Amino acid sequence: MNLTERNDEWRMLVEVFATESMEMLDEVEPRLVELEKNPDPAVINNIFRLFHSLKGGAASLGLQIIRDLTHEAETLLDLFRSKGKKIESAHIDLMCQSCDLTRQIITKLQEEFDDAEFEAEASALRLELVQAVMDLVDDSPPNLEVYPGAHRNYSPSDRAASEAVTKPSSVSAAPSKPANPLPGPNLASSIDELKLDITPEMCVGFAAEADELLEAIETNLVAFEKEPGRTGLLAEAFRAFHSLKGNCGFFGFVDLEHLSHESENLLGAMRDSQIPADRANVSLVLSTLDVCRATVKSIKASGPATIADLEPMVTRLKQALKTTEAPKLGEILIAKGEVSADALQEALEEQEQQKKTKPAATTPVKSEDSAAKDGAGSGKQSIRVDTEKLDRLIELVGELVISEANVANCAELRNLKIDRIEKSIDQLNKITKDLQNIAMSVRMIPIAGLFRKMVRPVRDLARTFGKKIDLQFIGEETEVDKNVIELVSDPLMHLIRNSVDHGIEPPADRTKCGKPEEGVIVLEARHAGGEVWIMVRDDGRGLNRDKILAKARQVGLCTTDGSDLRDEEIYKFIFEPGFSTADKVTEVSGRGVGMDVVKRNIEKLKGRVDIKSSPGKGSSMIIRIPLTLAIIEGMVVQVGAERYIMPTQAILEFIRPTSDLLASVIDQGEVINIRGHLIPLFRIASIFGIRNAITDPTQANVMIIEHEGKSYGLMVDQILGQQQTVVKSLGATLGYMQGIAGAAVMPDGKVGLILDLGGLIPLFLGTQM
Amino acid sequence: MATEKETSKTGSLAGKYLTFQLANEEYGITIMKIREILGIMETTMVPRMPDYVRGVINLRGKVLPVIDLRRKFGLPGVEDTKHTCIIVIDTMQTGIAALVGIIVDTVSEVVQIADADIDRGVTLGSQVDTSFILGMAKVKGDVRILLDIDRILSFAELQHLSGAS
Repeated sequence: MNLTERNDEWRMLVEVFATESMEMLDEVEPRLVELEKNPDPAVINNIFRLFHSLKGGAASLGLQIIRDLTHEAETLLDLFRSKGKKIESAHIDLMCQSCDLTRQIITKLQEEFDDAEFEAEASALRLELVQAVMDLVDDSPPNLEVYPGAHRNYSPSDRAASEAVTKPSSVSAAPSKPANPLPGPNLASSIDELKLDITPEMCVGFAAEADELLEAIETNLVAFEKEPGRTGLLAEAFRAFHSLKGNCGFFGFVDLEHLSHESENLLGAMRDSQIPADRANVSLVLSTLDVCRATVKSIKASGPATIADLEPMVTRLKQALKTTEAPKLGEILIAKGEVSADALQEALEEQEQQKKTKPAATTPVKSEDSAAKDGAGSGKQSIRVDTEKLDRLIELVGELVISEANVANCAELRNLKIDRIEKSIDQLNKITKDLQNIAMSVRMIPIAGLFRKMVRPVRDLARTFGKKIDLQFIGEETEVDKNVIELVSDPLMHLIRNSVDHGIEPPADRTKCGKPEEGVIVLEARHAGGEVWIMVRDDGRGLNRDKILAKARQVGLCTTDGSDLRDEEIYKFIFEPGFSTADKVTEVSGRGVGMDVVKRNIEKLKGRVDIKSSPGKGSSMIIRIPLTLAIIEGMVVQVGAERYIMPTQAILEFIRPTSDLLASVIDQGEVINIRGHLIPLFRIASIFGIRNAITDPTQANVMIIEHEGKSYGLMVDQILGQQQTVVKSLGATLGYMQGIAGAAVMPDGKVGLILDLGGLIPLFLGTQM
Repeated sequence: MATEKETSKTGSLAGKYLTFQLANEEYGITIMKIREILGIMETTMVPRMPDYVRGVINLRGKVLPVIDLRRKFGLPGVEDTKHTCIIVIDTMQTGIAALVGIIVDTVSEVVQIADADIDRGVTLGSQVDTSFILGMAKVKGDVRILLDIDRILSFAELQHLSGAS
């Protein structure tokens, strides 16, 4: 249905309708939830009326999709209202879905005055509603009971999952049933007609979405393996594969489409218990998943979209499906007496119609919608934005903040003492600050995605080592800068591997220690001060202090007997390159690489790793990193005419040394005595070649800093104060400069350089040799 | 870079040029490369850089390096005057677009130069390194030295310097 030709008056009416409907929907939704707890007839009546008004409004404007959808919802409600049928939570879910879809359609209408793209989705949902109505009218026991309580296990945010739970039971003849798949060639030919020009950007979009879908499938399958009773998880995976298939079809990635089609079939059969949902089959789907992922990666890199060993894969999938010849779904249902033959016929006809009307292009829309639901929970909407645009936005806001400060601090302007200007400046200041806060928050994304990525490796590793591990998440919703998430992924993986391999004991050992067979690894994220903490906690054997110490002494990292070292200091030896206490090198860890990489990568993020451990009870690794890479908290210091910014977290203290604390060792440089410890004293001015800097340490200030567990003194002229600065790269032109981490625009508009201890200290040490 | 240079040497050099003065000589840079012209401003010194890198400046939130063209050409340094300018150049460095400022004595004018007025392959017996030179152009009887600015600002050399130390 193309609505774009309607006239302006119609558009105006649609806008009014849209606003009103949104309000109505806002009203309906909480009531629906209420209904679940308390099926009060008054509430049902109220919801019924709201749906009725929606239907009326839509009908008068010729918005058939909404009209039909709300009509079915109304019919279903009427059964509860006048026939006194019992409301199941699945019904509530269905109606919530109807609300969601209606909302989406209305939003689309507001923007483009077109609702055609929702046609297929709406008819699918309508079919479910019809089916629910039929189930109730036939008075057959609602087959929703098949999954009793299943969706009470889900958190409310997991809407998509709970929808999926209800789906397989209430839709007995949904259009996309795998038991009676669309023949491949037909599908292909219909796609040819719809072929569009696929741009590289579209491919990237496809890849991003495909990655999300594949991740969802993996998470669900792994979870299913753990709790084989939760068929809803299979349904969810099935749906994701279905969306993937649709996307592939749309883009013409035939191989990938074929493979996801076969996987979808297998999953569908498992879901409907036509074949056993056992480990072998789940693993088969998982292995297909890996192939899909590799192909998607290739597509992302503009590589070929073909799959080399497609045929054997497909054969295996088909083989698995054949283990028990699957009868048609409808036949099963009739046999079970859950659906009457008439109802089936009706549903099949409708299904047939849908096949004709449903354009291939609707599938991607559908998956986008489910992705949005996954991410934002109910109601919230999100859009995909190019990160480059975001970076540019943040850059511009940074400039705005500086310009604002320039205006606000302009003495000439302020001296005019004009009330209006004063007020405007205050207002400007407030707006700029708000804008800055929002701009900064835009880059922040929940860490849940990163956590979910760990599910599969943990499962695989646990299997390899014959261990039982329960991976739990806390604080998945914690928001972290996108760049940080990308960079922290590898270190986190290493830490988790370490926990699986070294931390958690084999089941037999655990039983001996009186622990449950299944080990627990908890991934936790939270904000603490200006930092985000990501913790990997296990209830395994903990770190062995003596073993680490012995090894450290053996390789010469530690020269004393270790009695003067705190436990934490000893644990930190495991981050040294080549350090491993593992008796045997395993497939994944023990070679002594890894942990030093973890430390290096985290330090690149201006963060650190802390270790806590108690023998026999487990250990936790805490990654502490600044909330964002874009802003650092720094101390501004002056050396000669130059200003530098030192990241605050490295600074221990400032002192003005007296002459008796200073000593210089011939050919070894200067040292300073800090409470009995002699630490090296370096002059920034001499290493950077700054003239006019203070040369007498007793007249200067010394910053005591910590780097890699050692203290150093850095001599500067003055401390100007603490400041949050936006880190700017020195760009492609100057490239990497040892000792400089980046640049920052100071409040006066000039540039200050940010010091990088990682580069600076070797520079100092190098000059002293 | 080599092929780029090849084409610019063989292709037409005709077009509009911004001319500027440096130690009593007139130079020209194609205006296609020029982003804007700024008055001289205070720069932030970047340590451990060659002396012709004057420092970095903040251009509306972007940090860009500033090159002292006199020093780069081995000409005697002078005090900045009120005519001293920073020309902001859109340059390509190993495939990456970047902004770089160059300090010149004074900016003169924008002139249209025809291909016929450009003499390529001139070797100068002066103190100027000729590998930076696209050709010599005759404008109203005067000679302008047309510069290959990407080549002058080749930072591969700079990065090498800072990386090696």
